[in-house]
Amino acid sequence: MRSQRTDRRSFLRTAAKATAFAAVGPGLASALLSCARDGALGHRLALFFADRKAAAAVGVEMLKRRDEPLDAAEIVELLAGDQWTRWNEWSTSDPAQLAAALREQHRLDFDEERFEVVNGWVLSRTEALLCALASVSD
Amino acid sequence: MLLDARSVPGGSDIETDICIVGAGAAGISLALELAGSPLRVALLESGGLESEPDTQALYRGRVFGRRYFSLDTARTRRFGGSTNCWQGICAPLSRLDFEAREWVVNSGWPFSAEELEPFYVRARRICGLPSEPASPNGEGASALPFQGPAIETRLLDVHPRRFGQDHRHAVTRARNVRTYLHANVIELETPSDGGRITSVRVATLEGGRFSVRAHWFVLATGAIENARLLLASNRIRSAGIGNEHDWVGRNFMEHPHVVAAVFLPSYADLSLGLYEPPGGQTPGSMAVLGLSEATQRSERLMSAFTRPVSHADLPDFERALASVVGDIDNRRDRPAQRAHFFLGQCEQAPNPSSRVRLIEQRDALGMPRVQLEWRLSDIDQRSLRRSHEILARELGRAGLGRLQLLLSEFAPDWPEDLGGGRHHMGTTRMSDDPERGVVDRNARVHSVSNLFVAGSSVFPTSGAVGPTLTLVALAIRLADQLKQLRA
Repeated sequence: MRSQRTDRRSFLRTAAKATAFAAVGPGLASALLSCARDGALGHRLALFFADRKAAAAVGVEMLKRRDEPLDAAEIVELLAGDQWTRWNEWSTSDPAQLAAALREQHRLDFDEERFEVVNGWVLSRTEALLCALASVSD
Repeated sequence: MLLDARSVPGGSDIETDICIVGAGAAGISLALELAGSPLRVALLESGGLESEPDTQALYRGRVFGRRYFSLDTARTRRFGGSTNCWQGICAPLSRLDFEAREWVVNSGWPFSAEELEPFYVRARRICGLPSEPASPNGEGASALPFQGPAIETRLLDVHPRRFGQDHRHAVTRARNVRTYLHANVIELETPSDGGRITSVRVATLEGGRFSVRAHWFVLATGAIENARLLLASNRIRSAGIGNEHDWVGRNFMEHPHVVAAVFLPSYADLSLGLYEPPGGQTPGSMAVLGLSEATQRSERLMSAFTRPVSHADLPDFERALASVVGDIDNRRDRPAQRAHFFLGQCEQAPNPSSRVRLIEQRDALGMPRVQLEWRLSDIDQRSLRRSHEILARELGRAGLGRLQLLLSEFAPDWPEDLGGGRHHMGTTRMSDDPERGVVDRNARVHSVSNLFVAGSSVFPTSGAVGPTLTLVALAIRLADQLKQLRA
């Protein structure tokens, strides 16, 4: 079973790819993270689950199994990848479209075995990251 | 005719055409098929019509290595054999089960699934099954709607027919069949060249001794006892009868059973009714979830399936997870209230070091007892684990729920609760090559012209389903061959 584990270095590579800046430096990446952290997308994703307390409970367990902690911005980047710009736009203009895209990505995760195993439960990477985001967001 | 070996005069020589040793599912099926034929049949059963502790104790033996049921509780030694206590789950082996698979060492039957098809039809009658294969129980029960072909719902017939009770009348009223109860075969006797069996020596627990002479002999005492009797009959051939290439007793196979996963449905009213067995002795059907043949091929796995066996209310974490799963799967208004434990069962790969052998200790009749060494292979555990991973993928993909895997990828061994189905197979394996098996495609021992073996001990590979329907089909096929030999 393939389980997606992303360290900080590969995460930064993902962030660079997401913004189409091929030669992004660490300073720009940090700025990007701050933008994501404060952006509407992060807020919207953190509110994806109606029962946010339940999602946070799952998210806490998901984060426990990681070697390195993740903050909200990093989780948003892992979730959105190269969809970040579009999703960020939908987060304000069309939240239903964003939710549909998340559900489709969640289904594709299972298709392609992008799993996160949390307390033995085989979850899609997307649902696990959404829970993680709920647990680290205010 | 029903007789009691305890009343046979000591030193007698009983003459017959066919001597069947053992009146379990295989032996009774043979006797039923031969009933009414011109052949004289002697059916020798160690036990009586009811359970008798002293007779059952003849099954005692040693379990070495991996934990297993004690050998005197893993089978039943009386008329009807282990059908006196089985669950009655019946299904034919699949097409792939008969094939030589390059990822399974020693796989491949000498014939294809088509060869057994007409005998499966007849076996259904003996097993008390309807002429058509199983259909769903009740109205409204439906298979889980997966979105791809990787996992299939397979319907199994369930009818715990007690062969001893249900077929007793048909066997004992047959004029050409003499059934001897309390007749323990303790040795197969051969002339000095060992190429044929002349008689079997029979003993009773009361001290009686006599012989049965026949043209043909059929061992039908189960996979452990068939091997025991062949190995113990070593006066002429020191390694035992049919054991020129050291296969007798090897490749002992079971169906490893373990609670392998927990299923959390995406919504409360997801029905698993189709996957529940009918209650008590009621005939019916039960569904299981198994890998498709295409998936077995592409993933290079053994056959495996799983089914819900119990359920439990949700602890806190799982309650939270149920809310999350229901939400993302668009079932927010009715989250699951309970989780279901799935019992996984898989085919065991043939493994020569998994074996039955004789030990010094002897039973009340002077026969050496056996030691069972049940050994599993890496592919067995990998197949069970991977099949549940694939199930997890397909359940998630279809929005049906999530699976918690209880078999760790990193665990060095099986969990403590590993069990089996009390399905004993493989110890006198079938092969066209005398150097690769004990019996040929007709179930005749390669090196003995008039000795046949009936039962699941001849299975070269086992599939994942219970062996009874297949061993009955093989017994019917053997009966047809014996009738032709007579002709």
